[in-house]
Amino acid sequence: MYSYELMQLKSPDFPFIIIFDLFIGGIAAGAFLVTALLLAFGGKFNKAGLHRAYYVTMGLLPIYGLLLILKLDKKERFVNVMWQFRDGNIMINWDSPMSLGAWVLNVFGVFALVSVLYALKKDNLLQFSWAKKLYAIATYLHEGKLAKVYLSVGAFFAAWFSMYLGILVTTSSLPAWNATPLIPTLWIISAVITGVSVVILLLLFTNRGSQLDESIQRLDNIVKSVIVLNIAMIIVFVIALGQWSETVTRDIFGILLWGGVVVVGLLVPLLLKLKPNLLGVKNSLIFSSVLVLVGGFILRYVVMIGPMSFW
Amino acid sequence: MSQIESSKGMFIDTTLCHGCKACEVACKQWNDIPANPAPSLTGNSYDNTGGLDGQNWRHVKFIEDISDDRSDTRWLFLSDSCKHCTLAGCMSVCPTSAIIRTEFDTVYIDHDTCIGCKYCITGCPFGVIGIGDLSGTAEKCSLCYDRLQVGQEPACAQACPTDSIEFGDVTDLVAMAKQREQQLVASGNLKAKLYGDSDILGGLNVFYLLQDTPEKYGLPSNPQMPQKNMLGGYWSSVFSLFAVGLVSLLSFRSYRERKLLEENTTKSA
Repeated sequence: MYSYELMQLKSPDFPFIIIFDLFIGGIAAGAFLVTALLLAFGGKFNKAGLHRAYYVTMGLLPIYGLLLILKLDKKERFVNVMWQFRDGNIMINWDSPMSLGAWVLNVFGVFALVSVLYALKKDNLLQFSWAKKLYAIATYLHEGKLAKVYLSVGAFFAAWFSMYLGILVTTSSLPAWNATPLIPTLWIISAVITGVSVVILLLLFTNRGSQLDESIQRLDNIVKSVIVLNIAMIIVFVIALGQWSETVTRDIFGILLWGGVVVVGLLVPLLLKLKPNLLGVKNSLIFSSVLVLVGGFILRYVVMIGPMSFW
Repeated sequence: MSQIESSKGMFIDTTLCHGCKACEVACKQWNDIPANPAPSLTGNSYDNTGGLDGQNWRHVKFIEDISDDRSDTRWLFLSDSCKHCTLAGCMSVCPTSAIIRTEFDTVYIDHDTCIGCKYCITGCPFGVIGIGDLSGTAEKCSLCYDRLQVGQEPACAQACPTDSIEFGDVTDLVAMAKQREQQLVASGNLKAKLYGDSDILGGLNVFYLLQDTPEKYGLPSNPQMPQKNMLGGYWSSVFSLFAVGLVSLLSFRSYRERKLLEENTTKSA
């Protein structure tokens, strides 16, 4: 029996910027995903102000794209992901989640653009006469006969976008990232609660009448339920990591995961949502939403940096 | 992608390697890779290179093999590099097709196409690829592609003083390796075993004759393609999407019903 063993696997040392990228992308996708689903299948209830979620998506997507490019060592070559100059062809590699993700980002970007035109029309903002037809098309896609189809396809791409960086790290040789296929699941769930939390904050601060109150409460109801789902999924994820669970539970990562994400980012917001009188209804909504965002950020930090720094 | 003319590769016979590092030096010299900063002691045995990365495309591992009771010690050496796998994980995950298969069936990085995303680093189960300090792109052994194109053997193979690194057609090398394996087993080295036959990632074009288990050399016993979890990731995502969608819709609608219930309770009271 010999004691000397080597392990030569390497961490890609993705820069810290990737955490912001994941966080922002998650919010953009989550806000769009829930809004599209509610507008399509939410029934004939009051959905006042929901369309404003599209501003969140459209505001964050360009930042996401920019951060994605900044992450590259050869930033000026980012277009190579879309176009293969060597062969003069469109670049798509079906085996590479990064290649597919780049296309998903672009398609999702088109949906986000169309939807923000609809939001601008609804709010009567930035109405350019030359773009009248575009506003009309956007409105038709949201309120016309094809609305459910358009919104469903948009929600599908938003979901794909929210999970693709999870698929990307799962499709790797780095232990912990590849120990379980549940990272994309974590990303989707977290994207929904962070995305909806940002929309709640947006509606709260743009609420000048009572009409939005019901929409805010309905969205808050969603966050409550998904928080429970998120806590359950984090526990399942850590168990599923098996021998590699240490990569996200050791030292500071353990404190951040259980203390930062589960307690501060999920349980405390849940308590504030269940007992809104603790801080007053509005304050509870604001604080719980902010804490959910903090937890969502820390979750991404732990799952990405923990396994990378272990190696 | 080029039409494959012939499968070229290397057979590394670790029993012949005496750790002179001539292959490392020849690799750096031919490929114009800067020398490692001196002194560069790793504190890990006599190995002053550390591992494969963007600046070291070949690395002679110095393994001090000491038994648990410390009564038996020996050196194991392994001249390590890219394995030019038949099923190459780095190539399959590359988002720009910067990693290509050459006409010699080797795996080559097109530096003009690489964007330095580092995804190939996570795709390789052997930890071969690194980012070059000067190029800013992914770097690894090219099996001296420029030398192969003019009929020469790779610089490391030419420099090896003990013929521990044999270069040639993979089929010829496999036959040679199997013969050598049998010879060693017959002479009492029962642990001698080929690493990189068709059972590993469809076969490694650069393969090894080891004197002990692959783990002892820091080689994975069962390396996998990075895609092994991809489908699972998609399925779990679809499942969670349904779960999240359902929970969202039910929560959204339940608000109205609760409100109605509250109103009715107030009225009846």
